[in-house]
Amino acid sequence: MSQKFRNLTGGNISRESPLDFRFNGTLYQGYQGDTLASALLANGVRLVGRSFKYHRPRGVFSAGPEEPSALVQLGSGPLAEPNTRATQVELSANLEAFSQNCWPGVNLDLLSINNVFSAVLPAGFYYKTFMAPRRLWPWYEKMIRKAAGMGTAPDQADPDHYLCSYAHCDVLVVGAGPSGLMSALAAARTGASVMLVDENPAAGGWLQRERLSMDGMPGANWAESIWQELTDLPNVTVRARATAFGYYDHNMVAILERVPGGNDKDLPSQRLWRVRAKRVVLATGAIERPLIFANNDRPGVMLAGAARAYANQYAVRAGSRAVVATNNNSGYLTAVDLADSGIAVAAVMDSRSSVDHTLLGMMEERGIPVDIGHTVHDTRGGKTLGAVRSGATDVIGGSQWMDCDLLAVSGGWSPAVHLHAQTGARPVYSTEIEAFIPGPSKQAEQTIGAARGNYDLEGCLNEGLRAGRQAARLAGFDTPDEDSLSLPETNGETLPYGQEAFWQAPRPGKRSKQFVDIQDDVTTLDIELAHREGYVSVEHLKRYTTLGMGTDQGKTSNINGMALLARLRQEPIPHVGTTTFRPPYTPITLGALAGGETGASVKPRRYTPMHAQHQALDAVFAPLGLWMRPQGYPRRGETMHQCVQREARAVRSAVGLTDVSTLGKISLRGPDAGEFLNRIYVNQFSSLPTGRARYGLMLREDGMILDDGTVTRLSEDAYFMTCTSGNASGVLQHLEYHLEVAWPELEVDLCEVTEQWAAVALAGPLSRGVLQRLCPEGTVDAVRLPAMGAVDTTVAGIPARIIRISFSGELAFEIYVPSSRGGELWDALLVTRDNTEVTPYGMDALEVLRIEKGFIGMGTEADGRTTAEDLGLGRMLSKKKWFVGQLALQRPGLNHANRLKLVGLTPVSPGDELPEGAQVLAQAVATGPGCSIGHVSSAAHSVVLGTAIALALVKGGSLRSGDTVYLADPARGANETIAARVTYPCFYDPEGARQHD
Amino acid sequence: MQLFNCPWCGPRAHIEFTYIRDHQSVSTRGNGDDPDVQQELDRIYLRSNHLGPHQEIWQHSAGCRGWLRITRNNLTHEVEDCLPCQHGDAP
Repeated sequence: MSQKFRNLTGGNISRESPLDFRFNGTLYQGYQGDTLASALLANGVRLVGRSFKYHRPRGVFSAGPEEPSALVQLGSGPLAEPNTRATQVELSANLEAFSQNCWPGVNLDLLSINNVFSAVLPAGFYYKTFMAPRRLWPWYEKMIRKAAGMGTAPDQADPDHYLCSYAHCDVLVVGAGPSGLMSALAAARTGASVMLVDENPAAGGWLQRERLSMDGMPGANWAESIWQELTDLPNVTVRARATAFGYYDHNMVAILERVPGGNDKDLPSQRLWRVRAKRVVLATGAIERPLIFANNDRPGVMLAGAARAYANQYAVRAGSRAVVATNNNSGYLTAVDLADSGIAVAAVMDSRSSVDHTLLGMMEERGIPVDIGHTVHDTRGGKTLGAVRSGATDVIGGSQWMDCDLLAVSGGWSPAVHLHAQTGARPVYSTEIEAFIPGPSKQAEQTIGAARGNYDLEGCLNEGLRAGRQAARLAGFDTPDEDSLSLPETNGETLPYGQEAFWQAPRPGKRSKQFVDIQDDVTTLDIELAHREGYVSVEHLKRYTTLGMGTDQGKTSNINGMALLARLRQEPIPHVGTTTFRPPYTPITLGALAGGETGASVKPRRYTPMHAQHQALDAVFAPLGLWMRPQGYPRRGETMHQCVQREARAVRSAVGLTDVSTLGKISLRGPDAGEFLNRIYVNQFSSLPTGRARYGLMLREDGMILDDGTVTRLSEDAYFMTCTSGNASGVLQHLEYHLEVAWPELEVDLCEVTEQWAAVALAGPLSRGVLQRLCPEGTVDAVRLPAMGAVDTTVAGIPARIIRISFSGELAFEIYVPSSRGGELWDALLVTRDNTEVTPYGMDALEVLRIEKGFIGMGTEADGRTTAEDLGLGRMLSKKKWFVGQLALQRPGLNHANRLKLVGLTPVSPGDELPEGAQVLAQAVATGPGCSIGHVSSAAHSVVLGTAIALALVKGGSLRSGDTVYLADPARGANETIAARVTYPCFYDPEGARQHD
Repeated sequence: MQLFNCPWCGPRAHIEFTYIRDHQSVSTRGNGDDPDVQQELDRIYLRSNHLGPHQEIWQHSAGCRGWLRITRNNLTHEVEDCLPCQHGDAP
């Protein structure tokens, strides 16, 4: 199909660069410089989509970001992008777009039956109707969501990639229309660093859409020349296709830049800029409002400025025969431009009672009849507009039908105060232009031009110049009074704004649909209903009727809706106010917010110094915080369970080796280090002899356990602390806080050395023999290195610190060496000279050994709600000194008899497993919520007992020893409870003889 | 995104910092003093959460790891000042 609505000349498009594209499968042609909307209109495609609720036919309504109805899905499969505005989609070769919210197709949409039943689908219908029965709600919801769709989100990973960047500048100018261009130029001339962004591919804003001459050239060319001048300046950055969508704290503006050719592998498809500017100038323009009359939503009804934009910028006739309805002078410029582009303009309907005679002269010249005091009351047509019914503004329903396929409407212009309002500033209502204009600034921002309600070109240029200079001055740059910068000479048709509010034509029938919000299918009836039912606050009105929701956030509908509500409330519009303006200004792809932080790049990964050794042993890795740690080292044909049992058994009966490099390690030094540790830990540390280690417990200020670990005294004033791997950063912060903020008088230096030391635990009855052969004679014998002893020595020639600490209950040694030699140490310990088999073991075996011994785990038993007393560690609490958390332990609730306390569990029937996380019941059958007396905190299969074992937190604790309790695990689908016996929470060598050997 | 003027590093985005606690809840008591349990619990749990300026303790955790006392309005996010935690800064 040829572009039969395209003029042969004019417009800012490249006719020498035709582009093929497909819409709903049909092949069309447009030109470089088109938007999808202008290309569709050029091809006579007027029906673009179906409406949200009633599935009424809808077409292109605007020519910019305010578009409420021409929403399309771009592409298909994983690249599909729903809800894009056809008015903002740049036409590109082989672009593919689809209508959305229609089934089976846009021409025959079976769900348009909703339109027939609309009388029973008023505002709040879903809330009122689908109340009961409650259990059916998930089904209702599914059906409603299917019918009221906003496109379909792709269900595969997005193959595009995105980039997030930060930028800084002295002056950020948003919008490259006449005000913004002058502002950026003026600021740039002072030497300030300037960034100028515009959401469109080319500069100029409305200059693209007017037929004005500036400095002797078309406005668009003038804009292009200024843009080029700015591009060439070293202190200026310009970004086209970049939408400033959010204004955040302390002058940070978020900008989304669409990158042309961004489907290329090397380029991101979009860039998210976080720009921190000393000053911001907002020159974001104004958005036209529609008029409200019956059936004002048919394809062919369009904002007057948009019809004009299609004629001037794209050389597209948006129809063949047009009627213009307006309440301000800008409608006449539309009539002139439409007529000059070859559209027959049948009439101008002006709702005002009197009109300037120059306007009438312009119309007379072109033979366009003007009906003063008239407006459009109704329209008819099928899938596109066929005729409008006009008449005097006070004649209900109008009087005369006129055939036309384009109705250009202008209900006045609203400044785009969105970014200004996002700063927390409150727009104020101007009765002069009947719109909200910027109020006092809350951030280092100034809003200028049409965005301030200044609709006069020369005024805008002037304002831009002054604002640019002022912004630079406030950012600290000299702005000499004498400036070579002068305003461009302009000529062409400019008119005063001259609007007179006309909010709503009389409704012709009781149930006629006069749409206020075209995107959300909100009519004047809905607003009246909401008001009747008491939703008189503008925020409630929005939630109840959905007015101003959706992808356009009411850019064309909000002011009209508020004006209608004000009339119903019989109050002036400022009393009704606006809803809150929130980012984003236009919808943002979630991928752009994530940037590069997707998949494996979300978090950094930490590897221990022995990682290569683990890989060589075919370890199965599991994440522990950011660390990758071996879970086990399964042999061929072995299940993970068999592997873990074998590894744990090897430690109990022979010797095992595990990587504990992930332990948090902190070095402390200074004369007050002992005192500091005394305050931090519940037990005494200043009395610890040099060369000895001690297990310690630290609390939060509220008395709950924060962490456990060991401290080794290296010399009079030096200590070496280890803490739980997952808690390392929290513990460091806890220590730093107390040293720097609470007790700065203490002389202690601390340094985190987690990554400086590689560490292993060598555990099992044969461990001493293995280690002794690698150390200087006698270093690790029972006398020279007793339990909890520490020594600095060498292992296999590597400088090492050995501490006799056991986390397995066996004779064990923790060996610390410099990180760079971790792999060497691992190899030396694993391949012994006398063929003793040293078994590498992973986190899961470590867990089995821990649970058998009843040692507490951070996050399992010490879950942030348990005290030392709860976990049977009350004897550690020193009574001789003060420590963090001590006083809070006196709270009565922490000493209540009913607290959950640590116990052990074994199955009554030996074959049963004890599920981790299960609830503990006193009876075999759950009697309802609240019958739980505790929960299983850790569970394992014991290698020494050959049955399941568990640690649990149970009300009453050891008072229940010997009792039978029942474990319920309904969340994982278990219907029957499992009987378990309460035991002492240590299943192996409770005296600790083995580790002290 | 807020901007904090770290006394050691200069202006940095707030994502580099970690909020630690309100200055009201800081105790500089180390030991020995005769402690009142109720007073201690009130300090931990019952600080005033008023609208307006608060003195807050932040750490420049992804920067110099220095400790700051920031006077910040929790309604407007206005930062009145951003000072190093000084010795003896008792609330």
